[in-house]
Amino acid sequence: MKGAALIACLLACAPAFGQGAKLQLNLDHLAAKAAEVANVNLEGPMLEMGRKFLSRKDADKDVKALVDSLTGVYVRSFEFSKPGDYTQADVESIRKQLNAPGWTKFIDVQESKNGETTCVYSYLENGKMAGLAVLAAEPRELTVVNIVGPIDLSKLGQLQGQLGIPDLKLEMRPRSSKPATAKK
Amino acid sequence: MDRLEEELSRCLRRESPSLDFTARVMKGVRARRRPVALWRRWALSSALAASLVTGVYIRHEAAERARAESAKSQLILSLQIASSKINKAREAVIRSAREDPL
Repeated sequence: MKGAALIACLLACAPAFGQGAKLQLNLDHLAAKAAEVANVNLEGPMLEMGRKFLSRKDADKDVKALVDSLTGVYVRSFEFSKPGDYTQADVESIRKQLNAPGWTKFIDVQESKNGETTCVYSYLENGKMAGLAVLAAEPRELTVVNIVGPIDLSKLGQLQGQLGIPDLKLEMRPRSSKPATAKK
Repeated sequence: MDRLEEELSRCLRRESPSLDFTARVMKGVRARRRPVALWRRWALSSALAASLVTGVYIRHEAAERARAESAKSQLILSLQIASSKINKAREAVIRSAREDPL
């Protein structure tokens, strides 16, 4: 009886453990209201295919090195024609997942002047970075980026000028307990 | 004269072919027809099969290439979005630190 209860408990907890750095981006209902939508779901064979295709050109080698160990890349970006087309509940559904153990917020920017909020989170597994999430909310724009797998932020910074990716020059410390904050 | 007419009528009288006439004609036709060499049949079949396989392969490759291109574009788009948002946040942090050093 106790064994059955234990198994039931383990099964109930399995999704939480299995989720890891992958977020549930249930924001598809916003697509109908948005003027522009960017929806990326790359994992498994499709990610492998894109990665292999990158390696064919020299210019893509740095990007390939960056994404070499990734297991999933997910993006939801919505641009709305007017403010208020997405609700705080939509943002909270993502933020709640990012409050789960393993996730650390290391950049938190809140600009009251224009109502913009940008938070950058890293997911640590055995002390190593195993995922990244960016949650950016503006009055007329909502963007969530979820990268699953070890990503080298310094390499991401080195992609300046390539493929239209700007220079980041990041000095990030994901293990820091305090996120870099900016409130205006 | 009667005799000549009689002779002509005898020569030109209607006569039914023998029973094996059709069989003999068909045998002659078959004998004249040149059989298609076996190697030609094989060559034709092989060429058709090869073109079919090549066509399917080319189509598959084109579809795979299109999918790979799409995956690559999505990957680059994701990195662009991620880096631009992080960069924007970083700039805000730096700006804030400059304005309020403490």
